Amino acid sequence: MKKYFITCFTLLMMVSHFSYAITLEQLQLQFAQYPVTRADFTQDRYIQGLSKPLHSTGKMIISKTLGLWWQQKTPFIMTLKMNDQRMEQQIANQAPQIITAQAQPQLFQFNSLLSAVFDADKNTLEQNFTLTLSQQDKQWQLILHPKAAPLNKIFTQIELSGTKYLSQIIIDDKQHDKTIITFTNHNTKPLTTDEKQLFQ
Amino acid sequence: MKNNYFSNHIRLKKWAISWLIIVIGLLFFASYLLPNSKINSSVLSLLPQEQNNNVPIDLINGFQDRLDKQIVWLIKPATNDEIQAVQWWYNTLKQQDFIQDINGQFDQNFQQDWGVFAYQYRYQLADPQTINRLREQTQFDWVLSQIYSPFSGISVNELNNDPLLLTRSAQINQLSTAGNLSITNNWLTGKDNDGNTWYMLYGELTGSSFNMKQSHQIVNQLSILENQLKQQWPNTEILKRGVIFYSDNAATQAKSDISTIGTLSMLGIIFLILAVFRSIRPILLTLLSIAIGILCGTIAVLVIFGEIHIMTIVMSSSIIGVAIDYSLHYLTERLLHGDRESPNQSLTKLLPTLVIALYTSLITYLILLITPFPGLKQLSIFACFGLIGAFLSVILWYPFLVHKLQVRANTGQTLLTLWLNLWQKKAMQLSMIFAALIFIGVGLANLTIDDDIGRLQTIPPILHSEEQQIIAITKQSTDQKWFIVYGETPEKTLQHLEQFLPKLEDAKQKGILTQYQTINLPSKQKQQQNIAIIEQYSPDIITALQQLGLDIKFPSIEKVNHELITPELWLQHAISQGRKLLWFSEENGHSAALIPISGITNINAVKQLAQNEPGVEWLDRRQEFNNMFTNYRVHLTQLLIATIIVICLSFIYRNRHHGVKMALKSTLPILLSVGCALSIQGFTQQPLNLFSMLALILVIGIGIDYSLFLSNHSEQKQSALLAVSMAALTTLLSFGLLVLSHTSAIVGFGLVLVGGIFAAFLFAPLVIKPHYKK
Repeated sequence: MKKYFITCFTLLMMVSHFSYAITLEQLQLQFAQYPVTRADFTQDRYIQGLSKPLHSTGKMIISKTLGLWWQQKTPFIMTLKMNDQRMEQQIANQAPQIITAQAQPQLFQFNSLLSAVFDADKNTLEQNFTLTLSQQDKQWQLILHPKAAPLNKIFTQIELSGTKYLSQIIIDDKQHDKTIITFTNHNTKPLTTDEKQLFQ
Repeated sequence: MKNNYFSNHIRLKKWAISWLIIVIGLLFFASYLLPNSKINSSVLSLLPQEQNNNVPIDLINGFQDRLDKQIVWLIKPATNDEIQAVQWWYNTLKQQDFIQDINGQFDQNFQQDWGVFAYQYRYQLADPQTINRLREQTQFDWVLSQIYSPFSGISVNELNNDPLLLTRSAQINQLSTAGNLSITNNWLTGKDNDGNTWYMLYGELTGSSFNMKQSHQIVNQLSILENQLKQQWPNTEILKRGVIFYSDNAATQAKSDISTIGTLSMLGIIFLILAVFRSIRPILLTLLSIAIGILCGTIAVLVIFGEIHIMTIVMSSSIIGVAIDYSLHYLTERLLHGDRESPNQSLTKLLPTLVIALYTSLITYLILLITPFPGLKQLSIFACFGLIGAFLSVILWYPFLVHKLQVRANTGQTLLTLWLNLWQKKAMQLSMIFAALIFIGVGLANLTIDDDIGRLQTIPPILHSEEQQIIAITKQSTDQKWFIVYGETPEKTLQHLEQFLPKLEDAKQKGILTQYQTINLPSKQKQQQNIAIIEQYSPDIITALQQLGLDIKFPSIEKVNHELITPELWLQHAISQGRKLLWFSEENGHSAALIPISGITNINAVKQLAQNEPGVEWLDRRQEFNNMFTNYRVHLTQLLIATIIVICLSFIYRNRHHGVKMALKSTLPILLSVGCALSIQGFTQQPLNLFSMLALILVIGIGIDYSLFLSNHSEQKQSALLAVSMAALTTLLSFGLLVLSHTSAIVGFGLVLVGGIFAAFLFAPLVIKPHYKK
């Protein structure tokens, strides 16, 4: 069930391309701006009982047409690809773990939510989350509180913040674990042929 | 019949009284039998019980019976999330005693039961991927990747309880459920093309779907509830699917068919008899012999089959037209010659032809007995015993009952003579034959062949469109294409299944098929292997996790649940949700698992998967039935051709004294009647199928009588022709009315009979030798 998370996450990444947007309506205009976004990420997972967080780094690409490509480089390589039909997670020397809309129908539901986000479908977003959008100087912050099961069983809240691009995601888990993902080196050039291959 | 009149009379009286005693006995027997008899209205039971595979038939029937009890509803509330209507429907169904096991809601309890069960039996239910990773020693890497992934949401809690993440892996790799369904607001839902959410509820009838009276009450009750739903939530739409709706519809239609066809043919026959005989007595007499025929037929069917099918009753109402012929022949004879001969003399005179007529009808109906269709077998038995009953009543009782019958020797004489003389003219004969040949040519040119069993049942448009909508939303077609895996015990069955599934998965990967569904219940053998492997490898993995800094305790060996999941246990828990129907186990242990297959791209490759697999068979019932229909149609066609050749040869032989031309001409009525019967189907766009062939057999069996009567009666052409005309008219009436039936198969059957019998009657005068003396 916790896989919805992926979708939500992607959803959040989509919310990353706007600046000075105060209303969701204005977001919609921002979305159309960049078909592709790349960034490096640093992730720290604070898990109860661990003296120090699990630290990892890597790269990600979001394409409006192809979905999300996420690759952790350290401490070990792990690649994750996702679109609105399937998600594939692979670590070295292992068969990829594939989850499809058909095998995990719930996931499919969230994907339709995702496509609603593409269109900044305010109604769909507001159906699933309580949204709080605020702004200080050039820094905006969007807090999502999941409304219904199973989202609200997984996390308490998701906090996105950024200026021109999304720069940080903080996920507060129901188990009091916390994940902080920070993005740097944003780049919005069109996909190269090699990059397109990554999504295959 | 050389005895003197008196002793003969005594003997006949004895016979008549014996028959009376038998009939009274039969009446008593029927009064005991009828209240306890079962009327079957299932379309499926009309289908043959034979099969060309090794699966025990009781397993297939068990599955079929259970599938027949399923009802599915899809509800579209006014807005996507307005679930009050859905909840109301769910609660209301729960209160109905005729339905059990309502599914579709995934409330907290359900989810909890699922989760707890999957966790408690995580060793037993380990997925093949986990087992592979353990064997390849890569399970720890996978656990680590899950911990690092920002998308997995793993908590320390989960790691403590299930350090190998067995439950999680089983969930990720759980078998997909076919279709297009997901969970919305804790309900099973699908979406239509316009993006509307449809909530799906399904349940199982408690009794058999096919008790007619009950199922009619159930269908009524459900439609009352539907109306209540729509009153409370006006913009709610509801779709339904279930065999009960079809069978109830079929039963209702059949009932109206029986009353329409039965009443009309009775009225028509009464009118006809009144017109010709102008008195009440013949009507009472014919009704008496028909009633006794029906009595004998019904008792025979009930005794032999233990039940009578509703379609048998519909088709049997057409037997009236054949059974009445014996009465009519005798009564016509009395009408025209009652003043010149005693009732016994009339009987003696007619007996040979009546016996021949009975004999040809019995033979044709007995041919129906060799077909594999229970419905037709019943019809055949009904007809044979019914005809014998009617025949015996005529020959044993009528001589004692016709004394007061009035005689009108010249009834219809002008018309009949005119008709006979007309047929004596060469021009008339040639032009009629020519016209018939053109008619046959055009009709045959338009004739198509279609063996699809779907034609057996005419589904009302409303039910059909609902069915199509449900398929569009759920992507669950009603195509019954599946593998059936079976064994003598549940355990053996599950082992067969486990052997077969990798092969099937491989086929799916190759794209031979897109989807299959199977149960998620491992065999005990598999469960034990899983437990052993996990216990073997888990210490190393837990040690590695501890080194990472995670505070994980070893599960002590006692804590591992070694209890194995039995089919009973599996059925009791949420884990079998949506898959229960795929498992069937009998009391003797014989078990089977169904694997529905959809999206087949290469049917032959799919069929081959079952080859050399122990206890696996490919089943495609509709295709099987269609093939069977085709086979029987071909066989019957051959039989028919052989029959026609034999009949034609014997006609030629009989008429050999009258010259080659006459001999050949005598075969024309039968050939033309068969031709016209076939071409009628071409004209009415009714494709040729097995039923048309069966109807043709009857056309030959009944139509041949007309030629026989007309060519036998060398003395009294008019009385023979009057009897034949009345017999043909009554037969046309009763068979013709089948055209009013709601079932297209029966309509086609009726059309062929009407076309054929009319042609047989029309061309019968061709067999009359030229220059007969009036």
